[in-house]
Amino acid sequence: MSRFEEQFKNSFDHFEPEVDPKLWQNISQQLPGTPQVPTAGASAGKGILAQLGIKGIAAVITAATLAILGVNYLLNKDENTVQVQAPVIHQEISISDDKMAEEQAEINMPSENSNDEKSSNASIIPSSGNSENKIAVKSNTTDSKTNIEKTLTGTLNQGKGESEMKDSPTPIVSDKKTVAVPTKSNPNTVAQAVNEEPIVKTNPAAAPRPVLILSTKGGFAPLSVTALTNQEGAVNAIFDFGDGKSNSLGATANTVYEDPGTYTVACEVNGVKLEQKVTVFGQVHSAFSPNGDGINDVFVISKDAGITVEIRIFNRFGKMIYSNKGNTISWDGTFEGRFVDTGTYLYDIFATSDGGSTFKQKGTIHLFR
Amino acid sequence: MSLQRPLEMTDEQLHEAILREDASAQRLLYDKFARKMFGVCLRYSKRHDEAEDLLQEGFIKVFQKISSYKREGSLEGWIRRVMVNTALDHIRQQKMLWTDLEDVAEQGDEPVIGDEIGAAELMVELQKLPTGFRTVFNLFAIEGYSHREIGELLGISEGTSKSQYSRARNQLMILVKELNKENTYSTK
Repeated sequence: MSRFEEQFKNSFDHFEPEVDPKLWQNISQQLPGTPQVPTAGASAGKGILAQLGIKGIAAVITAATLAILGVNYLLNKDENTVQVQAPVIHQEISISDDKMAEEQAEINMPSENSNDEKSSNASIIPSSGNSENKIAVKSNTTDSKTNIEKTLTGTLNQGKGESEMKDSPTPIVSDKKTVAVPTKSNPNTVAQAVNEEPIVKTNPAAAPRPVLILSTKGGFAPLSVTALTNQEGAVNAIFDFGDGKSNSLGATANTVYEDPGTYTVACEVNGVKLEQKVTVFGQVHSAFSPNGDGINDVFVISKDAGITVEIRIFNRFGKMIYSNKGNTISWDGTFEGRFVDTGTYLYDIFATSDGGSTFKQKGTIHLFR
Repeated sequence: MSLQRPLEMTDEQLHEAILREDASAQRLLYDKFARKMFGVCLRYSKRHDEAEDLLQEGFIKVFQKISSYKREGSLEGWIRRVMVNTALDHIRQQKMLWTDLEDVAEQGDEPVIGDEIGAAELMVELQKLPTGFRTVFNLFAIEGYSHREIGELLGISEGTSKSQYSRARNQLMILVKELNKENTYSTK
């Protein structure tokens, strides 16, 4: 072990950061012999999830997108919260061949104002037979699940899904066909999906046209992108991410783009070649320590990232404590002239690249002192 | 609610009291180790609230499994292992794709981390690393596991652990050099 590692080790050995006092309450409630009081937060997550599961079943069986329409309704109901909360629900149902082309257009070539939302990706995947009335809610992270739950139940808060995306490859793997992507701007997708009865595929000749789906089309480096084709099995799909990484193992592949730039993701499946573009912007370092020592004191998005950013920063109770617009953003960790507490803050960015493309991104900022 | 300074009890006394199911002893144990363990959890997390969840889950496991602590090592070491294992459980659940990376050129001289740069700053840098790099760096450099053990813990090969580590180390060195530079400017 060299001196470099020793320095890290010594430093961390004596690191005793403040702990939020509410954590002990959460812990003590879960210890044996103490009454189980339901609390907000992580410990109650399972209950809410179970609830969501039931809602999900009901939604899928009765009208596949009731819940999604509900989301749209909620989103439209309160414009102020739309920016903050706009989960994309990839609903995986079987649809027929000619519809696929339309869906593809919807999914792969969103219009400029659809503001491809990368932060909340969840898929509701009905189990193949549906005979057991089971539904799996797949998601990248607990947080994005929580986002959807919150939206469904009408409690809108900030999302915080972005950073997990980077670290959770292969979020959506399904051997079922695809896909409705309801977004705020094209709710019609939902309606189309509803009208399509799921078809159990029996004839391989009726395989749907290959589609290439990306988990995101743009964002800050390091950007994790998962590519997925709709081909069942798809053992012969070959993905090329344009960053030197390729993969031919299955119907899905993942890469993490470390460097800014525009990349072409190519996928060759069943002799068809598909392409999509991904734009990666300079890294946003989301942790900082405004303690006045001159090191990492400010949260910065610099103009070097090649984008104009509209940012809003919220505390964990949803109160907006900073907002700005421009090609250089720097937040010094204060609100109304006072330093805010250490902890996690949520940001919500609407970015326009120099090239004119736009994307939205949510994420978290950690503040240490 | 202010945390009262716990009465000085030895770890052995604490352990015995907890085994007797003395509720106040649980609180004493928590107060004694929570901050240090939060530091451990932060190292394995990308975000503050993720670390809080880990700490919570880890301490619940500590109290559930305290009877399996046989005083073969220090109590703190045992608690730390519970925390690290909790973190690894979460990382394994992410089902990351681990790739063998080519070794990168060494970053010239090892930077010396300036005295003014504290653990909070280093934590900020560590959290900039991708999860795979951060995890392997933590396990090897801080926890002191061998690459073979890390391979077993994460279900990857020894070689993958090594290559991830050398990348992680390189990236951290670059980050620390930048940090040192920033520091020089700001003190001028």
